[in-house]
Amino acid sequence: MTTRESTQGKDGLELVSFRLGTQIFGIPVSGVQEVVPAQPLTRIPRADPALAGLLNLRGQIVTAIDLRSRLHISDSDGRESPMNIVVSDRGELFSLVVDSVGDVLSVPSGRFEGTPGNLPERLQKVCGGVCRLEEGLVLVVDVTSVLELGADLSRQGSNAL
Amino acid sequence: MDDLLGEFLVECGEGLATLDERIVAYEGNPSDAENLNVILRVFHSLKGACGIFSFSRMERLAHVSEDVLVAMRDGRLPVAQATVAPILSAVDRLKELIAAIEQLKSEPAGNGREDDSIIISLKDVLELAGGGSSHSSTPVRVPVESPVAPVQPKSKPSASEAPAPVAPVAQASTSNQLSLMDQSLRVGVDILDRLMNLVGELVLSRNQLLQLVASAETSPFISLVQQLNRVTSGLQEAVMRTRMQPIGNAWSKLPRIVRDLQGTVGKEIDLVMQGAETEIDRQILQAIQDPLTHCVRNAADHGLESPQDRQEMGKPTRGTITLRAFQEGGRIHIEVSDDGRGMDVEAVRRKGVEKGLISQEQATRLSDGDILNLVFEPGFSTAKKVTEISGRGVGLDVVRTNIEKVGGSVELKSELGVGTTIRIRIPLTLAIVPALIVGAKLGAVQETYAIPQLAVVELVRMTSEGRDRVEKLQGTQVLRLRDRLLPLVELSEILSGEKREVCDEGFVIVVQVGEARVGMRVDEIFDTQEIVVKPVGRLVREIPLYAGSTILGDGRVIMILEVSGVAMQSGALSSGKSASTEKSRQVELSSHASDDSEGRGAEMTRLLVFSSDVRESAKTAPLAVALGQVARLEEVDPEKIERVEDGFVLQYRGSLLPVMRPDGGPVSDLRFKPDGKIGVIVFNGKHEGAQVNVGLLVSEIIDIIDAPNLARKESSLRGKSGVAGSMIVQGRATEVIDVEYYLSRGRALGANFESERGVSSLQEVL
Repeated sequence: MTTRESTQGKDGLELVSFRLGTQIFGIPVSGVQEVVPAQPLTRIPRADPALAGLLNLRGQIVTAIDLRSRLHISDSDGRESPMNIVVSDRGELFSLVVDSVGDVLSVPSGRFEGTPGNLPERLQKVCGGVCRLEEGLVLVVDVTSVLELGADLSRQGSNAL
Repeated sequence: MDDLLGEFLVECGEGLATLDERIVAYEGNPSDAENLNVILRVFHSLKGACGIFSFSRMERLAHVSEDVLVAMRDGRLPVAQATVAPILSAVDRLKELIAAIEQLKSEPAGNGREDDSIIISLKDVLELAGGGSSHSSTPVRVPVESPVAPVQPKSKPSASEAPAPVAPVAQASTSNQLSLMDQSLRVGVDILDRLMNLVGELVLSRNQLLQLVASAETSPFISLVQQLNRVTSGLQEAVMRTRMQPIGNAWSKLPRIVRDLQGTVGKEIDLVMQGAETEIDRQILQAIQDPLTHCVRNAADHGLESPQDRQEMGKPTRGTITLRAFQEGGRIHIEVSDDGRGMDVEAVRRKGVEKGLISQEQATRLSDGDILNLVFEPGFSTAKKVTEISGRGVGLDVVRTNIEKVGGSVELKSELGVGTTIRIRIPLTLAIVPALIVGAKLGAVQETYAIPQLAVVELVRMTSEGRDRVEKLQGTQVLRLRDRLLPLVELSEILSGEKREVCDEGFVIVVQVGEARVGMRVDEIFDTQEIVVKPVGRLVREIPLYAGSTILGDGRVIMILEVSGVAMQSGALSSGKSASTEKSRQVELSSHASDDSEGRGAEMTRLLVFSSDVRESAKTAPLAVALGQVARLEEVDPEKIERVEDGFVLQYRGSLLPVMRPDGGPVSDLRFKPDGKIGVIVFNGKHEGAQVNVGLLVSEIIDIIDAPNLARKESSLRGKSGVAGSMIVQGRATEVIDVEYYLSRGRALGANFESERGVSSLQEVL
């Protein structure tokens, strides 16, 4: 459950940092369940291209989302061994597939601000803000909006009696 | 049992069970305000609950007892054995009443005098409080003693003193059997679901272990694994049982609904329920509750006649609606039948045509059973007027949709004047299902999918020579299976969204989707296996192709296909239910059929487009016919066609098949296929009550396309025999033939040569 509200704790926030291409992103620690190395994924034909597939996390089915594809990041930097950041949202498990996972960063509350207006729209939509850190600027990803995506095929309004 | 009543019984029972102890404790320690508050709360909520159910005897007892306790709390009454005793007897009586209600489903009837002795003793105690006397116990005991004494010892004296305090059933219930409360535990659904999940995990690990042991030559673990296997299966079954509920739970509201309906519709109705104890997974139970209610309302509103009408027909004035449930073949069957007027097949037939659900030809070709099941089509309602009860725009189509959602099917049988039966078949459970594990090549990779066995009718191995083979018609495939043509869906095409080269090897899984059968071609069939259905996340749930996912023995996750979704996606379901989303092959149309189906323009029919050109002349306009109307496609040697008096016949499967050219011309002029063969489209259907086969000679099958249903009238074509309408198909005007016309000609021809048979007056024409 990661809304903009909850990412701005009184005493700053803690971010799990990860990399997509050259950009560093962060995701609030509170929403992260665990980080696991690359897993075999089951493809889901006709789903949104950003839906990387399903993975078996100790018997639980986890929906994996390719964050690169979700954020339209096409940096040429390769991703030798992608990592899964497993997050839980509204009782469901999702895995965000990223290039690599870095340290947990503590961000003093003053260092957190809204996204600059000239950030590309695709990022604007899914980022809750930016942190200025020594490592550079870290874009904070809002999990809930990352998980809002469509499908190639979707059910037309279901029938209810 | 009414679930609300059940809850009431359990809750009140639990409350009352604690009272004895608490009241006695209170008597011993009157300063324990907390305890007294709990006691008061129990009485208070009991009073409220009884008010809801109008259990007036219990309400009265609870009410007066509460008053006494309040007086004690306020210090107006001393807490003493004499003052507490009447409360305890009230508690005892309440318990007896609860037990009786459990048996009778209602409060034992009474005139309110039965509890008077208890009430009086309670009121006597209250009077003490009213008198404001609060000194020692002596004055209290005196007035109270006499009325209370006979009631105080609970059992026999009280029973004899108060005339029949509760019905005898209650007595029997307390002594002979454990009450509902003692035998059942309330467990949260979330815990059950968790148990189910855990068992699912266990089943998967078990499968994995079994695989491991099976591959090892000798293993010290074999017997252990077998033991584990046995226990797991037992556990799985037991946990599944915890999710089972008697189907009667879904029926509990019906008697009330029917009772209320009687007044509204002015009919007298008996509701008979059989097999209410049949158990079914609660998930499915929830899914069928509304459809069942709908069916019953429908029966009451439309099915049954008014008492006057019934009397005139010599039926009892009271109509009967029967609900019957039973288990058979791994499925639950539920029947909702009425002994009402039944349905007029001809009226349904006309209506079907009127509404554009079927064409004129289909109307004559379809069996009575098929016609009746049109009532499940969206937009069908035979009721002449919309009524308050069941004419709210939601029809039986929603019933079917909801039943099919849980993997069930529904069909209707009716006999005019006798009654109508709706039969619903649903799986026992959705959580662990047997499934077929199949492979489909997506690009270069073969992916694995599961198809629930419930939908599978049969498996066919495809060979290029076999009798059951795939006909390739311009890229669209149909399977010829024992004389029927089935639309064939290439699974990998649906999944990849890309066309794939026609492949005549592999397997065809014949699946049932509603009433339609569709062949689904897959590249490989691996196994059948019990799979644990794992719901997929919300992002995947939106895709209509999948019913869920599962984990295989080796830990792989695979998708479970939703067969109806796949068939729908392919557009393989002709007309009716299939709103094909594939826009590319749509055609413009102008045709004649019926007026009032404009709104259904999006629905598609699969058409077989062919030509019947005459040799040495210009190509004529192509013709088309709905693929669903075609019984078979054949290729024959022209030499096999013989002339009879008024036409031509073909020796076909041991009998004579009347054949003709669409334009009625001679066979010899027809342009043959390059291999010298001639194509025959065989139709069969009913004409004037007789079963007729007829063959149409064609020179070329051109294509199979998806076209919108014939919808608009075109006056110029009306009356032209043999033509039902015309449309533009891929830029060419195409006439849609009227199968009915050819059946009638075939019938005339057939009748002729039938009479000539044996005279052998057939002469060769070629």
